[in-house]
Amino acid sequence: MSDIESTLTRIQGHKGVIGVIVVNNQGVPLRSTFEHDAMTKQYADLIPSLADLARNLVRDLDPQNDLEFLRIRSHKHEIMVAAKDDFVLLVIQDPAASA
Amino acid sequence: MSDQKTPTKTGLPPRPTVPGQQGAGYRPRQSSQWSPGAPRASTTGQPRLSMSGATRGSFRKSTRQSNRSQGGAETERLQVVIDGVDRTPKPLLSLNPTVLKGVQNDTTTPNSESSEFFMDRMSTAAFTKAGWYSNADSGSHTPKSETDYDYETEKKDRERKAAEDAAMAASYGDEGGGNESARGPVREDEQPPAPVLLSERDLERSVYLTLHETETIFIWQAAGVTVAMDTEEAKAVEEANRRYANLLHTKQATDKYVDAEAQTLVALTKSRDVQSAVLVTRSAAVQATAWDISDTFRALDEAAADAEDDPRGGTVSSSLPPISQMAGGVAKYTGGPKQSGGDASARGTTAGGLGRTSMFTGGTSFMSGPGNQASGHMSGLSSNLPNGVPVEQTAPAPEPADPLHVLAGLPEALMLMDNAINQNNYLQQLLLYRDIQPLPGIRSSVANAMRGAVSGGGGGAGLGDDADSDVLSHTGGAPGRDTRPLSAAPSDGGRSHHSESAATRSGPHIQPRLSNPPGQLSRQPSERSIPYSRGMSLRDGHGGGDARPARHSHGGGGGGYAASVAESNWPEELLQELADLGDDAPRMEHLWDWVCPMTAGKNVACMGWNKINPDLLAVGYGSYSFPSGNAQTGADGAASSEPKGLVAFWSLKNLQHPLWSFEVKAAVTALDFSTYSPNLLAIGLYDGTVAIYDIKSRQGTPSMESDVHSGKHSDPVWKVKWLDHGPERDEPLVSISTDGRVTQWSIAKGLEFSDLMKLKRMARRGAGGPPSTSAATAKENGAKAAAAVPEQQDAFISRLTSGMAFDFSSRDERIYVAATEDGWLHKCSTSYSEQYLESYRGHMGPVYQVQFSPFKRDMFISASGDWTIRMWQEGRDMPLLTFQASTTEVNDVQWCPTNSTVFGSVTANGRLEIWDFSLSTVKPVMHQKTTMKLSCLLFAPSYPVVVCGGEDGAVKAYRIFNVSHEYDTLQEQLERLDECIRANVMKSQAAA
Repeated sequence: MSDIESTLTRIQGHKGVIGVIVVNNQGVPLRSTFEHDAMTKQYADLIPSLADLARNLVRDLDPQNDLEFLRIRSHKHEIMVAAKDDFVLLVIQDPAASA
Repeated sequence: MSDQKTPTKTGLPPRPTVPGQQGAGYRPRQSSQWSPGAPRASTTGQPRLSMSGATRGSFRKSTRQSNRSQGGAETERLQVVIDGVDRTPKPLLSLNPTVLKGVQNDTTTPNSESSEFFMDRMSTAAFTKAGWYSNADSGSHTPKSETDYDYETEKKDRERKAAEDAAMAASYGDEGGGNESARGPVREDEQPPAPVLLSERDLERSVYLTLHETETIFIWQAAGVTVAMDTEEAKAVEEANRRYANLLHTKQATDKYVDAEAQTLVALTKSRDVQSAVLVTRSAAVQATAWDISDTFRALDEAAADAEDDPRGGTVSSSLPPISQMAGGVAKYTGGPKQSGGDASARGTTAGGLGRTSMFTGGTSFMSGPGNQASGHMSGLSSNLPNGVPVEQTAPAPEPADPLHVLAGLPEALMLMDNAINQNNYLQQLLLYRDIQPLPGIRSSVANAMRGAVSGGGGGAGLGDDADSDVLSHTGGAPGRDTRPLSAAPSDGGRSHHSESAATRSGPHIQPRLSNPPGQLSRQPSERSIPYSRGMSLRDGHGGGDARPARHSHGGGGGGYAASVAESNWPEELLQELADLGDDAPRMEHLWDWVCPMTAGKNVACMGWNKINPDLLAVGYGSYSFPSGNAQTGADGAASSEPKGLVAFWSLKNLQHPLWSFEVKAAVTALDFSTYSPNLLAIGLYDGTVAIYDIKSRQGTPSMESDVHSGKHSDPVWKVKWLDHGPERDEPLVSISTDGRVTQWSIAKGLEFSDLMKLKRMARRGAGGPPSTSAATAKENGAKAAAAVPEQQDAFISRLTSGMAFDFSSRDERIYVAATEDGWLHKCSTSYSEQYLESYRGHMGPVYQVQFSPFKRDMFISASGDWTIRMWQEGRDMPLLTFQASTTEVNDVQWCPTNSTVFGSVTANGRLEIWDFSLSTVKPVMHQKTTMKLSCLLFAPSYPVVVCGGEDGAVKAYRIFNVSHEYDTLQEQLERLDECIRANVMKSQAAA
């Protein structure tokens, strides 16, 4: 428990991290650091489906393989997604702030 | 002839024929009333039941008799009476006479006889509606009303068409009038017998036939009577039976006995069509991907394995994951509690009423009551907000039912995420570490570099892309760019060597590194990528990895160097040389600190790279506080009260959190990774313990540990080292301790030890004198001990001296040099445990570190508490060179793995110094000043990086520029080294 919390805190403390969201496999955000629910909802709606798509791709290519990590580098942000069976963890970081 | 006219009055309602009625003419026998049997001469025609049991229908005896009397010529109608017995043949069939139609009254047909005969053969049922109305009286037949109706309407039609028929009917009116009146006025209009002529319309008319069951008619019914034998009735019954038997017996003899036969028709069969509702069919299809199948079978296998392991059968079913859950990976987000099947049942009654089962309520099903309730509450919330924003879930209150804690794999994912963010944040530094110069604007190169930095030991194939690395990509079109390093730069991927600081340069400083002699060319083309593959390769023993020359000037380089020069009073010639080098002057840049709250404040006592994964650095912490810089041995007595030590494993993946760490019972003073079992880490503790940990198991308990019965050192272990004797031979571990023992450990069968040497105290020769006043004074301060008054050589209190460090020669695996606390260096052999091969004298304080040169195998260097670093060569008992830069003790010294004339050292006052004695033997070519005491130093095996650790718990990584000569062959390195030493020795001798 404390391990998870401390790691979460550490992640949030990194430079440039804008938000951390944990979404369960039903699309319900369990944890979000966004103040605006709309933003949380948007990410929680959109990202898991993409992660699923990516995971299906990986697993279709090789059933014994699995998706480990997904990075989306955009002009403004970098969205990093760790998708597992039960949840999707996504972090939005501003790479310019960290550079 | 009246017989022929009577049929005109057919179709009348059934009524019993009145006996003796005149003019009735022929009355056909009704099938229902007629029955074969013994007719009884009766004029009434009323049915009678005979006691004989034979049924008797109403027999129109009167009609027949009248017929016979009126028309005796009609033989068909004759009653055959033989000897007074009616022998008239019985018709087999009887027809309702009303069913046939088409009999014209104006003709003589149908005559009664033929019609009767015909009708007798007809089934009444079949002709009920046929419309036969000829001359038959319906008699007692009871037609259905609709039958009559059809028939009568038909009659009316015919009536209209044939008017003459009406006249004929009228002619008979008198005769049938009585009948008609008796039968009811309803039939009056039927009386005109319609001469039926079938027209075309008739043929097209629809004929309705209604089949119905005839009424059940009980001819006779006799219920059996059973009486008891002893009753009064019994006699009467017996009498009756007897009479009946008698009757039967006598009956056959009588004339009245008729043996009659009856014929029945074959039962008609009907084919019947039944209409039913349309059958609805559905087709369903399921698509399973290959990985669905793979997962499902794996889960089944695992469940089966679990079932075998777990004897409790009840949990097996719940441990089987529902197939829908397994296959639901694709549609996971489409809603619906797919996993609720097994979970809901497992939850039982506690939260069953809450309906929808979300995944985390299922996960907490094994928890006790309160947890279940709480999770049920959460599931209720989530069902209210199936796809919406979190309301209370996001409240960071860590409740016992925090949904985050039931997410399998979340800690790993968080760790991964932490690493990723870290790598983003330290991208530039990591690239510097890897000696990769990215073009800042090109993201692909950044991504490539990141991949290289991240994958660490994994991606040798991808990084060892030598094919095009010899392409010299001179960027002639960009004169402002840094073109110098491109001669040796690989042009692949993101490792283009445009300096990130090119913009800051005033002009291109062209110095292509083409001055290498041709002999190097075999190495050179793939130079840049070799270190990568070498970093991955375990067996690539020689020299470790090479730090690349990195002759790119950095933006801040000039300033930093100038500052460092101005800060010190460096000799003129060195300054001149450095100035000549210009931007190629050696310099270093701080990359990062490996530090986290867990390690902050603890003293970094020792470090060691993993031999397989050069990105993994094990750091031993011991938060003991040395009373002073060289009083390490003075703290012996306090070993028992030492706080716990810590071993942390740092990597490039995460610079702010160790991959793993574990605590040990005492301060860690030495550690080393095994070469051939890279997961084995040997550590030496302050309390003398030598322990071996299997870091793959991630257990904080040692796999093997020495204790007092198995050769445990009695004093701190200052160095442990696995000996590399090749992959075929086992890998012994050697440790050295303050107690004077050099011990070899074997892990083949437990942790077995054998002492290689017991370091005996040596008498100092000459002016130095032995530091043998007492062990306490010797340990107190090396410098003072060295200056102590000489005493008698044999007045030892302790026969043994304290070992501080050792190093094995790469020339002969049996040869090693042990450094002692009393300032001596002893060359020993594992073959002789009693005597030294050679002893080297010169240090006047405890020698903290000794290391053989990676290039010149008989040369070694030592660092001492007497403020000096000395370079030695086997066979010479006096140091070749002596280096002294400050007035503090030198805690560690290490050869640079890529340059034969460079080594690094750390001092107790916090200076990290890099020496290059080809440039100067007086001052280090570069140094970094830190505020804390530094205790250890390591060069990275593969990269131009040096790391050092000190008492604040931070492991600092510095990138060093322009020091390594990795392109030089071994021969060149040796030549340079020899030349430098020769020159310097001559210089020092001249100075002397």
